Amino acid sequence: MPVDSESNVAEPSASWRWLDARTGLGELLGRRLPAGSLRWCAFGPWLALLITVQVVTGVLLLFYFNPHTDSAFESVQHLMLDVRGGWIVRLFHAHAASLLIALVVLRVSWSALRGFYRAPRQLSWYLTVVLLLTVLASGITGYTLPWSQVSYWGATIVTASLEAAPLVGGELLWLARGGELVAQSTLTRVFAVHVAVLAPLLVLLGAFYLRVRRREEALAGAPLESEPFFPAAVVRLSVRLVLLLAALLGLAIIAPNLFFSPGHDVPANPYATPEGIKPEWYMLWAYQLTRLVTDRVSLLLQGFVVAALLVLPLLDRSHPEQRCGRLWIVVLVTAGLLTLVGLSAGGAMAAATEESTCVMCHEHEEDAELVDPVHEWRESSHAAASVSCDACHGGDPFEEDADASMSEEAGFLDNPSWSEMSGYCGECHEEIAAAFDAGALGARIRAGERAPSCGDCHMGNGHRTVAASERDLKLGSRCRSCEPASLLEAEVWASSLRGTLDAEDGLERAIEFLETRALPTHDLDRELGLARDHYAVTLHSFEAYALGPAQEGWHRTMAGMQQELERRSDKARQRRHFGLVVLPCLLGAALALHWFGGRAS
Amino acid sequence: MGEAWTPDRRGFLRLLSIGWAAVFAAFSSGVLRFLSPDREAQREAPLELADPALELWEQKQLIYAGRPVSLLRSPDGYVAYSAVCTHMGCVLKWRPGRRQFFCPCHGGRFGATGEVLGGPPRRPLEKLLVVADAGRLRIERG
Repeated sequence: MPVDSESNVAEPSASWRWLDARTGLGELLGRRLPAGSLRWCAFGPWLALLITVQVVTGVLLLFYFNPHTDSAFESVQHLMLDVRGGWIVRLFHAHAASLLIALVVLRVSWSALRGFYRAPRQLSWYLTVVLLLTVLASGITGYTLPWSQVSYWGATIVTASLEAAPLVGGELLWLARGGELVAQSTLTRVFAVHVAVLAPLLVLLGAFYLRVRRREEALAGAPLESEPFFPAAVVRLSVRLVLLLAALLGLAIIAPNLFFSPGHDVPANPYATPEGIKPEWYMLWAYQLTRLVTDRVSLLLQGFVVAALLVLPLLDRSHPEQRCGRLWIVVLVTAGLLTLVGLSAGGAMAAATEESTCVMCHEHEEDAELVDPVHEWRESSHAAASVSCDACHGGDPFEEDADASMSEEAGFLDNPSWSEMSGYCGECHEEIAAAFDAGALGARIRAGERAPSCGDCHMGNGHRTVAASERDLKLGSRCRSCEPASLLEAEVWASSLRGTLDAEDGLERAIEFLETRALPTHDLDRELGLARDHYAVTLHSFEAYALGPAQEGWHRTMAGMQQELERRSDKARQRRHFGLVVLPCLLGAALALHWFGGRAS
Repeated sequence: MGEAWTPDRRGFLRLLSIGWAAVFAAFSSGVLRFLSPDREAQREAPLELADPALELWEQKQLIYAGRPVSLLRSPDGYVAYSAVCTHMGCVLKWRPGRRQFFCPCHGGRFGATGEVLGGPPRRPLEKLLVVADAGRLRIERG
């Protein structure tokens, strides 16, 4: 581009003049924004950038996502594992969605507290409230799409909550699900709404908001920036975009699961709801509200909050020059925000199951014989899996009266004898107990002999089942202390356990590592679980002839899994290296842009 | 001429607006009808199975008409309930020790006869009809 040496202004090229004459782009780029609209904490630029990231990554995801219940989950796993750069696109889309929701929530809260709904800002306030509803709807429909357990049960609960609406609840439920059940018709609808309705609506709302804010600033007589949009504002926006990309990349590398709920990496199973399933962070308040009040009250309260936000400009017509709105509104908004935060915290901490009265009473007993089992149980794998006292001992764990909770009517079963033990454990560990009963030790117990039973091996440390006694089992010390006559047999079981449990520990650690890096592990988890179950069933038959083949099968499976684990671990390492190279480059680029931009201005 | 037309023009525009509003309403109603799935009641065939020989208070989860169903052996014989929580539709888990159905989503609890014991649910579980005949069970909506 030729430069006029006297005025130091670049003379536009012929192609630019041609384009400008037809589009008026030059006038647009030469406009001056209201002063302060490009401050670091300004809402508009971040909103525009996050929506841009969402649109670009969303379009890219469409090339691989398959909106079918049989293949949606697999297509996301394929994207995360096999598609070059797929993990970046997906994690950027998911994390930017959470950041967008956080940004709009903060904006609505700040505007409500500062009275930014008063004249002449009413329209931008309404737009912000509609933006909030749109980003929440986008978030909910977005996390339904991968058809994981969180997706399926989230969709089930959200659509079921519509049924509580007066008069039209049933119709709304059918309309949202596309039928009676959450199924393919629901996924198709959610996909259509997310991609074809909410995404364009978000873009339009964002653009309209920016336009309205500019007009509102002009109405309020705000001064304009000293420099035109191009290049000053473009440079500042570029710096922010590069910083946003760096933050998203940092999140994808350091904390890829930060905004995901447990269950996001397990495919949907319409016939089994996982224990303690919870929604994404931005819906925890609604989750907790549903636990506390009836679904109709919950829906009405949510409707009331939205209505209250929409009528706020009508309630408070105080002078815009005042620093905040009316005092009672500030108090009300603060109370509302604190309630939301409290509900979200309560939802995040809510236990999947209520603490049983067995635990609460026994914990305060003075007799060590009654207290110790509770302390031991707290360290056990049963406690970790929310399996409480009543699962083995029966009784009513919610009855506060001790006698009533441990009565025959409440199904109390007391302590099992050694010969009854497999029946108790078999309520959950069905196949293992069946193998035990049918095997060598089961036969001895049936014959009235005092042979080792479940508790003899697994309760060596009281109720600290199972992990605490695993070490003893591997060393064979439990077997030797119980049946000193069969030392050789004890060594056979112990050596088999050593080989398998150590290998299993290694694989579990590797799988956990991949999970923390957001690499798909569901297939490996399932394979490991099947192999582990098969081996455990054979081991518990205590038939020595069956152990060898079972162990061989186990090791074959382990070898296959090891190869696949190494392949995925390599990917995790490559991603970290990529991050280590690209992240500093992005930060450097942001610094350079900021510096050169300042000089150019 | 133009001035003489003004009131008529306004009237015409009002009529046009009403017309467009009517077209929009009809279109919206059509879109709603298009989006609402056909709700004609479909008669679900009964679920037939061999007697699973459950022990007292033992439970087996079955799938009937695309939904999970709990078949339970009570002192009075077999009973079957929809295993879908009446609160938000999550699938219930049977706790044999407690003789309760437990909802993993919001902590709802139902007794062995389907009654609500605690948590947010308000309605009892839907009870299904179980007919035992010659070593086979037939489960259907009552």
